[in-house]
Amino acid sequence: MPQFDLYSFSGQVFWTLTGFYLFYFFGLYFYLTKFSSIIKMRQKLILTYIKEEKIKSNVVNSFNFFKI
Amino acid sequence: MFNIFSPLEQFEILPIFNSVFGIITNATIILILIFIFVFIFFKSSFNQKDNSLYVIPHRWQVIIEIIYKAILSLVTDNISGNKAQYFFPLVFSLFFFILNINLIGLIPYSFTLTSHLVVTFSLSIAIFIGINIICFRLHGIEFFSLFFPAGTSLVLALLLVPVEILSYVFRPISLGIRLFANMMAGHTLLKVFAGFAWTLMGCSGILFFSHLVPLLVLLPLLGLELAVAFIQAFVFSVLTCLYLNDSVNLH
Repeated sequence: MPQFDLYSFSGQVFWTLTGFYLFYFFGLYFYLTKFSSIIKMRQKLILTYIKEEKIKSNVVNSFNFFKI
Repeated sequence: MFNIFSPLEQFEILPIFNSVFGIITNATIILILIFIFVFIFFKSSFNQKDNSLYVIPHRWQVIIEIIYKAILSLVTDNISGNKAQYFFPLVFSLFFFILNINLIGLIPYSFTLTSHLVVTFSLSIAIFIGINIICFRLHGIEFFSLFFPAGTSLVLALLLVPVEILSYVFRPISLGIRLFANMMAGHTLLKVFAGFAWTLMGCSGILFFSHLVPLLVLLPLLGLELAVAFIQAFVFSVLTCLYLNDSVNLH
């Protein structure tokens, strides 16, 4: 089996671990922080819009009440 | 005449050229290709003008956000306590790294890194060592209570402690072998069926047309391999979360 060719073991271990750590740090410092902040910001925006809409609908309902 | 190749030939590590970092093989080139692919994948979701993300996401961003939320819920579901989110970048990178390796391996004439035992082992052992360091830093000497389940009598402990130690030591081994065996078996099966179809194509008469049968079998098998690529990346991540949970919250 080619999987047990000992001559390639050290190179494969080195490249796999280096690749994974680069992948990890690239993710940690570049894209994951940006995705996390944009998701949080969107969530905040949605909550503010929902609050504003609730206030508006309450005002409209109160007007309806006076009409009746 | 057709040459009949071994189905295991696809796993051979072939040196391509020498560099300052050592010999560059086909496996190294695939790793570099994965980097380029992932970089383009993430870069395409960013706004090209100011390198920021969109509040109203487009298609690429939606795909990444779905994976992001799935992994986040995986981490928070499996690691209890307030420390769960610290490990999210690690689990996300691990999942995405293995998934990309598995998926690129499905492209014909490419190479599957995870079909090599040494690759999966180096990943699982690195994680295992990391988990042990985290556990020692958090709990000190109490780390050894992992091998001594709470409420066990001393007589029963004589039997349980060796079993617990054995199961603990075999964690990285099973983690590595599971991924390696699944990927290798799947790719070998694909190669066997493709080779069978190729050999039948070289025949004349009715045998030529019968090559469609293994080709038709090959199609659902490729779909199955696609599912296996996702499932194995997910299983590796889930088990890493469970091992992390054990080390963060001792039983």
